[in-house]
Amino acid sequence: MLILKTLALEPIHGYGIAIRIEQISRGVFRVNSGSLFVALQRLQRDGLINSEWRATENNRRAKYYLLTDHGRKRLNAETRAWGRQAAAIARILEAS
Amino acid sequence: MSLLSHLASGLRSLFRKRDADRELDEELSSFLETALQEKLKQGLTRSEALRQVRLERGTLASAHEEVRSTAWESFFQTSWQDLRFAARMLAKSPSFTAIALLTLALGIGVNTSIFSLVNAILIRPLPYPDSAQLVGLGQSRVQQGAGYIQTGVSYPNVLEIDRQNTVFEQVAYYRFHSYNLIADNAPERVLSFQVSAGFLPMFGVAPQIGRVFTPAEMQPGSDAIVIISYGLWQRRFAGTPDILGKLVTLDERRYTIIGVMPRDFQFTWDAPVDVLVPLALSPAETGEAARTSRDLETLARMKPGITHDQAQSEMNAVAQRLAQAYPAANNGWNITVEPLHAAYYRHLTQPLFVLLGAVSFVLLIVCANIANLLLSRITARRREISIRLAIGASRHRLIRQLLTENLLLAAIGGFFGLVLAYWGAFILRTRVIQLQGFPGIKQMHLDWRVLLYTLALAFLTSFVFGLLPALHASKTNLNDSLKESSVSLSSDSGHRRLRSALVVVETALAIVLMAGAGLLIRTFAHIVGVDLGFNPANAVSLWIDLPKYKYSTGVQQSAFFRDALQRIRAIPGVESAGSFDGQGAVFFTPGAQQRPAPGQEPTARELSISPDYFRAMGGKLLAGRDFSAADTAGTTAVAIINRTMAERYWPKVNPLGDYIVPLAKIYNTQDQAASQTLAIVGVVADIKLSTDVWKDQPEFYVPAAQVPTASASVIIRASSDPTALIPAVRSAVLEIDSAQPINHVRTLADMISANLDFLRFPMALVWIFAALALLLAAIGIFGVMSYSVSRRAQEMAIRIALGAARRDVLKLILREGLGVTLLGVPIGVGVSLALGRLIATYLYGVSAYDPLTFLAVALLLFTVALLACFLPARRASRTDPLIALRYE
Repeated sequence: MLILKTLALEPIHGYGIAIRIEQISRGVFRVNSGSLFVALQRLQRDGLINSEWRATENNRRAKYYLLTDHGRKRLNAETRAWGRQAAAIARILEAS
Repeated sequence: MSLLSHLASGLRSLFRKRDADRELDEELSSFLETALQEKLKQGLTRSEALRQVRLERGTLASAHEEVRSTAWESFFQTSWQDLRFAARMLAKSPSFTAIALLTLALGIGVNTSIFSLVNAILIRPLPYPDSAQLVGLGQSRVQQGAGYIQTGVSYPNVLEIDRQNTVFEQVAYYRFHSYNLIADNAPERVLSFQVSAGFLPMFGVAPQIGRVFTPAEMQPGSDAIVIISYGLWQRRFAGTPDILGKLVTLDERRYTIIGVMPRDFQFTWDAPVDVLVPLALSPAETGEAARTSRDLETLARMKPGITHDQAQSEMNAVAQRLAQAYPAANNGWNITVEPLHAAYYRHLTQPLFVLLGAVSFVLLIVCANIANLLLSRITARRREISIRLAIGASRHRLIRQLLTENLLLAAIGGFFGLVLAYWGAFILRTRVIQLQGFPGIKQMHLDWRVLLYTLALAFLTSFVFGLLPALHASKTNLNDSLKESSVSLSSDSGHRRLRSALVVVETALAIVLMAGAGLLIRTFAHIVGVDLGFNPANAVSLWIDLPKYKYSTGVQQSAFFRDALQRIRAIPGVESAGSFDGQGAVFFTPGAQQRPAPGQEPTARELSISPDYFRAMGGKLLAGRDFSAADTAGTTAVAIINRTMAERYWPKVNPLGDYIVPLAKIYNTQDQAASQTLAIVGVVADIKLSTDVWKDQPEFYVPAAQVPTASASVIIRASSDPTALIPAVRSAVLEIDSAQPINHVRTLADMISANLDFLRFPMALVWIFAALALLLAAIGIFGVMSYSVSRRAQEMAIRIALGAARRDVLKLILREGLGVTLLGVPIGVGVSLALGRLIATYLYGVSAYDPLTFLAVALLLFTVALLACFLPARRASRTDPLIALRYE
């Protein structure tokens, strides 16, 4: 879900995804290359993201990932579900 | 949608492995490179930056591995890898692989062959459409002395069954008959079925050419038509296409061929039937008097949905009604319904299961062998396994790899086993005479059931017995095994105990098989040595079958045989000649005793003989006299009884002068001549002419002059080789009747060996199994000892270096090996004794607990074990201490 959200803003390459997740989460999530690319492979095979080779800022070749329509729909659905769950947990924790 | 894309990308990376790997590597290295750049920008040194990147982001290799392993196609990639590795490992230890494959192939091959036999006969349904609904009907009763008797059904009773039943779609019946067949002037004796109109339709089989019989053709006079077999068509008519309408002569009557049976059609387990004719019964054969002629083999097809139990209970009711309506003929007789499959193979079920049991024992030995081999191998490779675990292989992956090796072994061994089984099935199908007649035999191929069985066997032996060692190996304590040298470790002794236990089991199983074999071999020897009661040297037998239409009265028949025997005796070189003809089994009352209650009557076989029969056979007269020319149709009715009959029914009393009162024939009451009181005038030693020579059957003889027969076997004893006299005998017979052939000429010695032939196949199997068991046990012991010696090479070297004589080392190893064997022997003997009851029914002349046999078997195994241990022991004693101590 986090990867999908990251890609919702703009297509980026693998390292960019890792950096962005770390930045936005303020260092809570640290992304290991293995686990990142495992997730990327799964998402791609599920048809939620697509990939293409492009040139980076430094003119190197990197694989850029984009969100598909299917992926966008999934992101919205999961965000809503996550919101509901979080609210429910919060209510439970507040009740005493 | 996602499934498809999963599949697509998985397949892409499977078949384009290098491209996919390269792409992933490129992406990963770009990632890591970028991370490195970031770190450098922060001002770290290169080495520190590298270290941090590795810590935070992982390495190329590990990331690559992680990504790949979560993809589904990696399973296939790693499996393929495993397979190639397994093949290499197996090739690297050729002796292990060879022994394992040999053992597997033998075990699986033998088992599959036997199973395909059992499959063809017992498991597969009969090769007719909807054969489960076919049943055989018979009349039966329980008879004192003879036990359970089952006969055919008499014609009037068949009609009643047909009329009264509600469970059968159709009832059909037939009768055996043999004819003199003449086609193109060449005579031949053929076996035939006289069949009812419903016979062929009931089997659902249509003739390959032509048509079936119609009910109208079942009348005498309209029945001069015949359907011939495929074999006859090829043999006598060269398979000519316009076969219909051709004529054959059966017993000098012309029949028109109206059909040819299909090639594979077979419905009897006797000699093949070449000719089908309509069963046209004469009025005498269909009237009330024929109700006691229980000579029709009867079959029926049950209606769809009817079960055997339903049919049987209805037949029970019908039998009761028949017994009440016609008590004289049917009282005490029941009607049995038996599935046709069971009727055919009833007598084979138990022997086949015993066979299957024996061959399973062989399989167990094979399993023990394989388990032992695999266990040894795993232990030997423990170092290698530990290293792999230490480097980072997961246990799961390691077990998978070990199991792949076992699977490969199983596959190759199973394949060879299948080849062996194919060959074995071929031998069984074509070379074993006893099996030739069975309907299922020609189709005894390796069908899907057999293949499944083979697969299961291969899987069971290799995979299952390899699983435990593999699991055990993966739990190895890394520290210990990495430190180890060739010195045995504590965990080794656990393995050693297991291996020894396996050898004990193998030895015990081998003992059981060999003991059984030994008992059967001794039985066979006894059977061959039975006193047959006659002298087979220089004697020959032949059949003369007089056609009934030409020799219709007893007077004509007796006259012919009297004349023929006279002429034969006159031939120079002939010492004596006589004739005999079996009249079937008879209920009788001995002497002046009260007529016993129905079901209690004793039975005996009746034979009609000429004077001089006993002389021609070389039989022995024990008391009284032989028949002579003075015993004619007009004089007192006399009989000679055999020793068994005398001892059984006149125990301790001289039977001479007493009487036999025959009551009725069990099977067929036509030709009911010997039904009056017979005076006993002589006692002879038993003459055993049939295949079951180990049984003592009561028999009595009556003069042919008083009980004439149309067919008889003529026995001729000559002063030297009797076969040289046959042409003279033939012309002597032709002088009396120029159209009368003599058939089936063979010497008495050949007849004996033909009778014994039916035992040869089981005996061959017995020898094969015993040899196999011994061989496999020897291989097992050899393998274990070999391995044990090679592991302890260092220990042996130390012993020798310290001063032990080579002979002491030899003795040490031998003692160890034989000690294990010694444990297995009494266990095996114990199990054999426990199973003694199972085999007792097949034994003759030797008890199931015979100590001599067991002793011999134990000694044999011990000797073989000694030999098997000897080679490894010698190798151990030849260890060169210098080399062994340096070597690990």
